[in-house]
Amino acid sequence: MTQSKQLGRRTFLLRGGAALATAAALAGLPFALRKELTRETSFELFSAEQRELVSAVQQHLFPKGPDSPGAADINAISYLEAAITAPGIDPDTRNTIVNGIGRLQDASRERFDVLFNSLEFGQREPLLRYLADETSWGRSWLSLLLYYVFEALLSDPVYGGNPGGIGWQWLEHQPGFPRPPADKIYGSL
Amino acid sequence: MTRDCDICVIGSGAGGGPVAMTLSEAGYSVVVLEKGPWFTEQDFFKDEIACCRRDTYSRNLREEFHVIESYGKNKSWRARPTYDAGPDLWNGNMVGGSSNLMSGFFHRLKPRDFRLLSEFGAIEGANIADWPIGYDELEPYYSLVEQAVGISGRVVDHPQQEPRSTPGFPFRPTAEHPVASWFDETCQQEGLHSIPVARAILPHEVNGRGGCQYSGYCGSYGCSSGAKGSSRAALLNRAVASGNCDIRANSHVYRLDSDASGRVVAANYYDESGSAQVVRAKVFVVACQAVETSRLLLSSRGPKHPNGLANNFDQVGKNLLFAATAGGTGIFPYADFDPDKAAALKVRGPFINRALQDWYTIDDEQVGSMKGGTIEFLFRHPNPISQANRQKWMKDRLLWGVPLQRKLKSYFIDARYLRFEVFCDWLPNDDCKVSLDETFKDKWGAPVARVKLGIHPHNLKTSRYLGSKGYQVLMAMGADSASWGVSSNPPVNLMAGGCRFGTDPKQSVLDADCRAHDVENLYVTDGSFMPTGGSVPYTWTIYANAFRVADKIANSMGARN
Repeated sequence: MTQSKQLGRRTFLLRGGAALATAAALAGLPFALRKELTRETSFELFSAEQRELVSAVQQHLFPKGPDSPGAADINAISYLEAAITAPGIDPDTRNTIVNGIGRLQDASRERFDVLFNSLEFGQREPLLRYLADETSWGRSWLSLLLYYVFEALLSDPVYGGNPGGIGWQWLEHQPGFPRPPADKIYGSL
Repeated sequence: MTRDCDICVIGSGAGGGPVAMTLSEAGYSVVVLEKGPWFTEQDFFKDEIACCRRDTYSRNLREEFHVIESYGKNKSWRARPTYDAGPDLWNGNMVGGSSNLMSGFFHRLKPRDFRLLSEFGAIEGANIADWPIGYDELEPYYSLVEQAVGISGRVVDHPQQEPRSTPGFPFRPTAEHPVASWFDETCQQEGLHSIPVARAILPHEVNGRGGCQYSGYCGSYGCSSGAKGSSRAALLNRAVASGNCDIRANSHVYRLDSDASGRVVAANYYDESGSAQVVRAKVFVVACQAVETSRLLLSSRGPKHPNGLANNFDQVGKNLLFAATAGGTGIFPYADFDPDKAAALKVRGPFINRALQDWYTIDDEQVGSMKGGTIEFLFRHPNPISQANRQKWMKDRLLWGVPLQRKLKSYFIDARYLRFEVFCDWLPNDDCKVSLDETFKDKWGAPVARVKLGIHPHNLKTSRYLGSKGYQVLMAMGADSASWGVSSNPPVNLMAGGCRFGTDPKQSVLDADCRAHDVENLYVTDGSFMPTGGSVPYTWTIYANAFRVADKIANSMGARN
């Protein structure tokens, strides 16, 4: 099954987040996506705590290196929020991501007695490795987070990731042309 | 009865476009009902998200899906809806259909492909049948497609060259990648016949359609210049210009009504707002792509058709066909070549446009004499997100951090990847078919299509033979390493069959003119008519046959008043 088949076009409401985060999350998005998102009359994104955790995991999975952009450089967390709140996202995809947050916190508490964000790198790595190698949910969750990191790294900057084409430049990738204007991207076509 | 038009065409892809254009230009009134939206060149961009990572050109799989029945590792059949798992069978829901998204590798069938049973004999478990027409009857329409759709290429003499009524293609070949000459040299050294592949792509502006822009992104993408010979760009725009063709996008046909005599009288559809609408016509042409065509006929019961339209002998949906079943990839590290060759290898944009048909008929001591196929050579698709996503696994282990980043860097920067795809006859069999699912329904409450994907073992044998040949060519070209494999899961972007044409109403759905045996005003013009698929991609043949049937329809309707 290809990833695209998991990302069907459908409207959804994201549960368990804080509505207050919405404005902040929207601020970093391209106009076209903001417009698309605000078509919803009601939705919630990650809570501040959830956002911090997911961002930390993304940066662990895709750290900034001497010659490589990291998750923060490609706006990975904003991109993910925009992607999974876009009209048409498969609710299973969104649920997998949201549910994984709680499960990771549970696993962190169980093993280290503290939340994930309080862990040192040397503690995070074995925990995530255990979850990826030994649990099916962890494997799916981390795989899905990585997938969206790749989207943030290599999709057209008009979607909010890959600022200035930083991901393309890193991998010497030549994008196709014509590139999409903001009013002709997914959700606007 | 009041009629809305002379001909109602359901589906606007390679099967519907030729009918709409031919008959509207002949003066008949035509209504085309297309379930997808109407995109134009102004809507197509090289945007992997919109094109390939979301469902811009597909359907909401929670609302409209299929049930796929496949044979699993536990040696039993398992059925699952496509929103849950499995390939998505929507190949391009929009005006022009999947022809908007094709790569446009165009091949004619060979004369022997029309006589597979007579030429190669029966194979146990395969429902092989000769076609009721021969190559000679289709040849003028293959030639017509070259002009009308716009096929570019170069004719060379080779052992499998099919007869042509014209000496060459009407348009010069598209620009070739430097690797094409490497391929030619390798073939010469190996005693093989390199074939320049014709493309449904214009190399320059023609009648308002632009030439290829060589952006390096073609297959799976809509063409922003109009160079690609989609049904929409090449044919439907002409149909509309005739003033006689009304294309209704976002119109999902859910049932054809037939009267007491068995004739179709109306097409029922939901418009964009979800309201039920009706079109009445003299003639109805169904071209929804193989799976949905069979589904529509099976869903259209009437007084004379209690088991579905044209299904009184239980043939609708049977003998579904697919195509390629093998493929491989060669890795060409830049460091293995001198600077000039490495620079040539890195060139983006032009096409390789090469294929081999040296084993279209196999005569080998080890496997015997049998029908073979075509090996198509091309670069790996440049979509970076999908390529990056494949790098996150090291065997069965999820990679991240520096090891992942190093792997990505090496994958993207150190080498070019040359692929091959095998096209061989998908043998029709009782385990490859379409029916109506008894449990799952779409958002309108109609049964979805249940698609059983059974492959005949002979396909795997042929695929293995051709796959090993493709591998040898890649290695002879200088690949550092190559891998190849066969699969019993067919790629679903090429589908045909389900309403095969023939002379016996008990073993076929359509007659030689692609008119339903027992419905005098119903035609099917997508790939459903094919009893066998040949050993090439189908699209040129679908176009050609649809033009042929359009002429039959015009003849049956008589002169336009």
